[in-house]
Amino acid sequence: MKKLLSAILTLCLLCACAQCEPGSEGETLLDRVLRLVPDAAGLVRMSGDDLYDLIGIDPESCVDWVYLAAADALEGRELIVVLMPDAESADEAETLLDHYLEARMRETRNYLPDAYQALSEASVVRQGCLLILSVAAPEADEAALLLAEE
Amino acid sequence: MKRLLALLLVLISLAPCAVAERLPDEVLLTYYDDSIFFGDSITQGFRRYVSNRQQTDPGFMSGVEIVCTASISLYEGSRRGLQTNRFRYRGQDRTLYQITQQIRPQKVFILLGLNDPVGIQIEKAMGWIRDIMRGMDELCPGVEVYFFSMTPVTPGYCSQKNRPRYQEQVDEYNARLIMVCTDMGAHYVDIATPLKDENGYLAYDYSSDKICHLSDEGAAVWVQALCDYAQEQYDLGLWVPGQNNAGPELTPSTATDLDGATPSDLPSVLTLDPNY
Repeated sequence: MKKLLSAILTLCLLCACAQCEPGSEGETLLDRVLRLVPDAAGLVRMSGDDLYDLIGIDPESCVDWVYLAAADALEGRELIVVLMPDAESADEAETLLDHYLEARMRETRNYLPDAYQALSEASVVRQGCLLILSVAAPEADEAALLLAEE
Repeated sequence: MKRLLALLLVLISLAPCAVAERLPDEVLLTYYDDSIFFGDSITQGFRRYVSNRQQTDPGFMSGVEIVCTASISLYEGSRRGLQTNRFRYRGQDRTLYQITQQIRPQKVFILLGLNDPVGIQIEKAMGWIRDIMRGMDELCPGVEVYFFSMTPVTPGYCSQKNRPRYQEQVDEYNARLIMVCTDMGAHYVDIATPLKDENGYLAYDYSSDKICHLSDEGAAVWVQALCDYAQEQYDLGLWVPGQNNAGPELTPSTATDLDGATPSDLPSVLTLDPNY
């Protein structure tokens, strides 16, 4: 009886530890971003309409998505993370993100030099069906940090 | 008897001055449902403010599409072909007219001119305003067009740009804009006056960069100006909250682009039109 109770207790402890491990199942992209990105909590959570209207990615077509941006639009700080359901839709999303980056560079080139500099140093990073566009991040390897969880 | 008659006369004369009910802000902002706001970096800041408010109030100005490009000028916005700086909507480069055709709103609000800048070329700017009205009449008939006043600038803007009279020039532009709006059948919405300080410049508290862009406080003033304008329309009997005004029907015969294509036929990137 004591051995049975010990075994059950050990099992319960192991299950509890599994829930606390980083990258556990059930964690959304937003959870991951809030956990790993230092300034995420202070950024504006852009809506699904923003994702669609500004970038062209329909949020309904995503498995999950996060779109954060600085409250001051002149700052240029943005973080877009999208998880698409398959390679084909990930290809389309990657193209849209590339075009979005090009459009932002075009509009800031002779207008907002700091934002332009940050945008010119940014690129769309992809791993499988997960895409990340990180601009003006406080951590230089922000995208890599988020991808390391995959 | 004479006193009674005098009292009656006084009451009758006061009746028109009775204060109309002030509608709640959330009702007043429904005036802007089914609208597009087009603008530049000033409107970009406003859009970010709206997105921020929607985090806790998802319905806040949810009926407004805000389309903006930081560096676009009034001239570029008025053109029927794509220019170097252009609007972008749902992943596609589009003109103001194409986006209006695509979305089919009841109303379009425009705030452009910072990047021209219109204060130093008022006559040309009035011509571009007229071009927009003609373009909207031809390509998007039935859509009500509104022009926001140019927002004020700070003394810092005037010295940085070496344009010491610029705020006066902006005031002149706005005065002319009112006249052109009346002439062309557009509407004018004054968001400049409530943003000014006692000296007639953009109040520093309302500016994020202390030059010309708006802070959250400035954006809140803009929202209040929208409420005031809607209240005015209600007081004049020109608008009834909740009344369903169906948007204009843009049939293929009326909604044609420069080359006759309907919006869905448009290629993803149009060639520039250097002659327009």
